[in-house]
Amino acid sequence: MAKAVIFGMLFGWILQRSRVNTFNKIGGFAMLKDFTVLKLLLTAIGVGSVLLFTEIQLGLASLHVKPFNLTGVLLGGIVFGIGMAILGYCPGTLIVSIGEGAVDALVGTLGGLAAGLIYIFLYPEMKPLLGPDLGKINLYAGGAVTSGIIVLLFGGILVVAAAYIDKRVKR
Amino acid sequence: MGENGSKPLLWLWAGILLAILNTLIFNINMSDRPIGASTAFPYFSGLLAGLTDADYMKDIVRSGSWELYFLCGALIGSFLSSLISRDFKIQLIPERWRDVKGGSAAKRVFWAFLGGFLLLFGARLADGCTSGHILSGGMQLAVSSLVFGAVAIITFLITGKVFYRR
Repeated sequence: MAKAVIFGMLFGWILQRSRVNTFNKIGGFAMLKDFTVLKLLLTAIGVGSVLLFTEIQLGLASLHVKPFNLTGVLLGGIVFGIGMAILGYCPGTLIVSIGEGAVDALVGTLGGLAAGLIYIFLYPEMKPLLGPDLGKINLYAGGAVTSGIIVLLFGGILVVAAAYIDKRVKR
Repeated sequence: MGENGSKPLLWLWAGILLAILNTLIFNINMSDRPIGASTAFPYFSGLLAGLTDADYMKDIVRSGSWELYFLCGALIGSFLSSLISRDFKIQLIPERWRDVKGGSAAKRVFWAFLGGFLLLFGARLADGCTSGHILSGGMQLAVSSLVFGAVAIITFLITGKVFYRR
């Protein structure tokens, strides 16, 4: 578990130093006044998709794809998006922001803990409603070569999109 | 925008560093799992309430405990980093919120609590958040995560447009 703490410290450092943990950046994105969060996410996913695919091909990592529970993912995405816009943080950045003194992030965390507690109680009734489970599917297709081309295209498009947004929107 | 610390890390380098960090965490000799954050919330609540025997707690004990340690690290990391960079500041109302919603503490507390509640409830329904679904799932080209990311960002922008209308 020492590894998890050290990885967490690096995560906290990267987010804090890039300022994307803050309400000013996340709430600013909701107000269409700041696109730093979007540019960072596109870059991280785009670069990460190529790095991870390479790592998997070398036999050093395996996939951990989440199941596609249709109702859960759609409904959850909607509720999550509404919450993130009015709160101005997401679950990871809440904790990073508490670390730099944001009291509203502490309040948001208490709201999140309350939701977690209620979810534990509702889970037996909720679980059957989250489906249908369409499986742990991803966009890798065919062999390593076809998948590699798909990953390169996917990653390339995301990184180019981040660069394009940066060029077009100077904020 | 009210930043009083030293010059921030450019989004490009931060994005690349985050990609490298997640690739390391995925490594079978390291944690053999992706970055995630939202499972730690119900897990911590359940621990505090002594609900370790509940069905859900049994389902999430593995990822919940890892994520709790991970977020403890994130808290320490950002505390140290914000002290060094002089970004650390005890503050209830962020500048951008004040610009649009005013300086009422009660108002910010109400919306922050409700927002946090919806955020984590949504994350539990979908089994992931910005870290587990959008970042880690996106890196794996996972269909569940790409759909979650698209729905969440569209809803986020629509809500932002309505909620922060001046």
